[in-house]
Amino acid sequence: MSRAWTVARRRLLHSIPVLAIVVLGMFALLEAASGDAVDAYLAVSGGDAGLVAQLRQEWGLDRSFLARLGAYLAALGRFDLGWSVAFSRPVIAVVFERAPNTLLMMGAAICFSFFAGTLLGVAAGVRPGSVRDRILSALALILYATPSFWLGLMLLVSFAVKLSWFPLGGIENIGMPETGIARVIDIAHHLVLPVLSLGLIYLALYLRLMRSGMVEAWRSDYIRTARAKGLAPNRIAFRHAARNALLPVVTMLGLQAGALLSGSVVVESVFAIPGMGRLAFEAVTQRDVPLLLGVFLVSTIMVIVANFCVDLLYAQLDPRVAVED
Amino acid sequence: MTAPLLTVENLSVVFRQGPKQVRAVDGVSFTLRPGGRLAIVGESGSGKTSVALALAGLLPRRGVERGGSIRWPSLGNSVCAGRDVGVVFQDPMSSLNPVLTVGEQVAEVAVTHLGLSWDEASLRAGELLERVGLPQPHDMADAYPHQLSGGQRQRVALAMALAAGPKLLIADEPTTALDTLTQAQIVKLLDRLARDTRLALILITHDLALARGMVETGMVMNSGRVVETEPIDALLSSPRHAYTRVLLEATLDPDAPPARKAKKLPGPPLLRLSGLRKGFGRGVRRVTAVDGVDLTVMKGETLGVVGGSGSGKTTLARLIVRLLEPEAGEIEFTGLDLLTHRGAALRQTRARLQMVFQDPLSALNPLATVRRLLSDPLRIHGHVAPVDREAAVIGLLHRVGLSPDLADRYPHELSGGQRQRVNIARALASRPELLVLDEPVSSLDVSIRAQILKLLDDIQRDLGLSYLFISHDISVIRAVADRVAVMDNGRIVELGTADAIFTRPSHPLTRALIDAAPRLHRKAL
Amino acid sequence: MRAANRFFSGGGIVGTMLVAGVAIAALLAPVVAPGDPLALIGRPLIEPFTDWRFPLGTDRLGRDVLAELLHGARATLIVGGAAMLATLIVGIVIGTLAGFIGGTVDEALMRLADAFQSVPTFILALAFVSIAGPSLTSVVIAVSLGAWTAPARVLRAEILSLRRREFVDAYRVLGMAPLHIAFREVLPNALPPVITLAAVIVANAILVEAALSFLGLGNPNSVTWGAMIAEGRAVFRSAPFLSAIPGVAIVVTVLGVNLLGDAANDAINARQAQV
Repeated sequence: MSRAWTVARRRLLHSIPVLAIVVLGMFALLEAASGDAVDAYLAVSGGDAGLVAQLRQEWGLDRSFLARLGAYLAALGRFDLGWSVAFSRPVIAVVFERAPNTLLMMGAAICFSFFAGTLLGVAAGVRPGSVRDRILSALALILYATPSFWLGLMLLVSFAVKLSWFPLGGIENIGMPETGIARVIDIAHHLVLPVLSLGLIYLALYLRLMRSGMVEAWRSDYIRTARAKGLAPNRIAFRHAARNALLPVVTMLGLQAGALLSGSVVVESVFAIPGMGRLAFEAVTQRDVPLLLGVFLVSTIMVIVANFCVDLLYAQLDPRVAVED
Repeated sequence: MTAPLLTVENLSVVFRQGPKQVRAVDGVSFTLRPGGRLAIVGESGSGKTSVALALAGLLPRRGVERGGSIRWPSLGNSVCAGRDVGVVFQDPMSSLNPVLTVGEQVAEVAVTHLGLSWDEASLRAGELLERVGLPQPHDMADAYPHQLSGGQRQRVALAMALAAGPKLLIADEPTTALDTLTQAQIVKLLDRLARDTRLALILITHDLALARGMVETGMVMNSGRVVETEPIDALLSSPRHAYTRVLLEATLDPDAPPARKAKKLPGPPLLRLSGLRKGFGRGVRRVTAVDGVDLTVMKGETLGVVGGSGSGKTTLARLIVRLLEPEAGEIEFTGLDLLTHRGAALRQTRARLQMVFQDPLSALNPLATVRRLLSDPLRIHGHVAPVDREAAVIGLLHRVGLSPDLADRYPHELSGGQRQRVNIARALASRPELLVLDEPVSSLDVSIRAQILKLLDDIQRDLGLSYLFISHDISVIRAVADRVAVMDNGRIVELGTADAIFTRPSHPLTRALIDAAPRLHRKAL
Repeated sequence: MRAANRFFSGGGIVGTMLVAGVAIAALLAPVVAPGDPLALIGRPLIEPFTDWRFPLGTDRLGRDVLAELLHGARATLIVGGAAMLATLIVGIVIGTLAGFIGGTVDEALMRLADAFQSVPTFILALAFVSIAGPSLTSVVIAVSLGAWTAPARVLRAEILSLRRREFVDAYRVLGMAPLHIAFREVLPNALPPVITLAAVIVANAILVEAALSFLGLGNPNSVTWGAMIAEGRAVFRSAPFLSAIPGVAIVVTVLGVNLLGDAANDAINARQAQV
């Protein structure tokens, strides 16, 4: 238990400067964008010097740099992420409205890709060089080279258009709103293709990682010892080899959080899912910088939290971590 | 006449990788009776480990061809690793699974072969850990390998090998990775366990002295073939084959009369250390590696520094060559205060004080040819003009007994002995007066070790060098040193001439080290 | 020698062929399909393999798909190559500084790397491109912003591990100047594992660029495969081939790069193992 606390404390201390850098970076982007905002407004609506001064004052652009930074940080402290121009609502409200859909999709994609990927990786890595291994590895290679949005489109064409097994988009049936279990099933039905588009690619990654971890393990001395002890092959494969090969895979899990959020931008666009990823895209097309940065910040915090959880999980799995303290 | 436990006839093992093939074992035959003990003695590449793997059925499935026969007449000819044959390997850290508890790794053997439930097996694991001499065995069972010391891990390895009550234990270099004192303990443990259960033992080792105390018969191997097989005492007193004689001569004996007379050359000390102190870490985690060391090295002598791991001898070496800065104390070299030297002055002084490192491979830049490695010091110290450098490089190679053809090779293309010679040549390039040698022969094969020690001796005589020779192996120190300093916990606990130290050791640690060293002959009482 | 053998195993050969194929297509684009690939030269929505003048068909505005594909190959390889160079340069500089200087500088640089890694790379790219405006340069920078941390960390780790090896101590005892040790002896040993990342970086750059173009944020002045997929999306029910073909091109290219990278990785590992 004390090791878990050590890891947690270390992670927290470490995340604070990281978050600080991100916030400063966001402020810099905001500054870069705001300068344009006034010009953009003028370019569209026209105006004179007086209007320029008035706008600058309204948007707080006439204050000193430090004052603006201070105001920005204060606002963040109040969980005020600014005002969304495109939606005419506070940014934080818009983001938190959309977040659950993305989290649902991401959660399902992680579970799917991790469990299926590691199991297939063990299957491939148990006997490297076998036919099964070669086929799985080739599949993984091809999947890993596939853009997620294109995979989504192809899945859409095959399963939703040609075969009509799945709906064409959205997260649920808007025309006939369901409740209770029926609604859950409806949402699940809508999410199958998007989750596959996101998940298959990371499945390939976990497969490759787990497989190479197994190959590493087979070469190691402790596997030689396990064989010398005459243990059953299954026990050697799972309890000894896979258990060790799992460690780098779990490390990768933490890094996947960011990648999945990235992927969700395009996949949500393809499947018209009202999530955070698509929100980022909408913010870009509508030149809504506060909204874009709001998504930016929230998604970064999600990644930091995900990494935190993964670190704790890793500490559970590897007894060598956090021993020195 | 009871049936033999094991009969090996004309065993051969060939490793194939594509067109290449390596004959690791070639026509090996021997017999072992139940409870009998055999030592397979050889250096790296002799094939001894491949024999062990073949016996235990642990050879890789692909790319290996096994010939000849291995029969187990009294076991009904179907032998199962773990149940009938237990194996202990050389490196206990990597032999244990890092993510499972020690107790589980012992218990799983009992579950697999004795049909016990996990609870029963855990109890048995606790008993086994106690039998192998681990303190608080039931608490130990919940520990992970990285929490144990090297000696403790090797005891766990023994417990795992013996858990199912096998008839034969194969121990492949079981003590090579351990320090001298721990080695002696493990050897005693092995002996006792084997005797208590009438266990047959095959001990694989490069050390003839180690084999003497443990086994009845010795089988010497070289390049995959058996050189000779004799009762151990006959092997050691009257070896028939030339290779056995080479091994025997190369085996250093702590009881041998001193190789050198204590030298007392005229002149002031070449190196004087006073009150040297160096620690690492802060607060509760502070470790004082060198704690107030006073030492002198006289001109032309070899001062041996011996101690176990953690005694501070390597830190001492690094302080002397200024790789580390001391916290207190003085270093005086040829009358100069070394600690005030910086920049160009330091570089000049460095030329006269050089170091030979322990691991020959790690000490050489993998991307540099031998020629570049040897011309670097010539270039840095500038005492050889560019036109003469090539000749100087050839000269250095000659001095260490290497052919000039090797000048264009890379370190990974050289053998261990050749690499260490290059190391020595590099240290000699700047014409030093004092050489600090940190475990220079510890990672070399026995026969190569003897050659390198002789080389060092010749060089010292020819060039009038002084040596500060560091080793954990007291037998090596016996063979090279004029005076000996024994180090423990950062302090010098005993200092004297080699003769005095070895015949009348006063400090308990010195006595323990001398007693623990494996010897070729029974000690005169 | 063994390294060369490892490289030219099955994967390496296939990878080299695929990448070479794409490179040749890119080079031959102006020869095989001269003129502006965006020109409207045919009837819209001709199916592929039906008309020998337009072997891969035409899109909904009547543009030649094959021409677009070949010119797209250029854009893809240019972005991939430029992003790889930018990423490696930034990563190597930062990794070297962190590894050799150590202390607070190292801490600060690693926190910076953590910050860049915590932001989802595509969202970072989006933010940058939307503020800087879409162009080839901004796409390349956007890709590098997320990718530089990997080579920086790998190089730093290699340098830290090499600095503890005895040959570095040996050079210090010999009296070699520290800068000389750092750049002439340590860095050449540290670089190979970083170079093996090059393939991964290129593959990643191609995929990110495709996604940006798909969303309409790529370089507006050239044809890219991502943009082609976006174009085809408008008619994906009736003419799925318009989206399928450029996607297959991306898969083939990235697959080739990955295979090449794996083979190079194997070859370098074989060499390091000898060493």
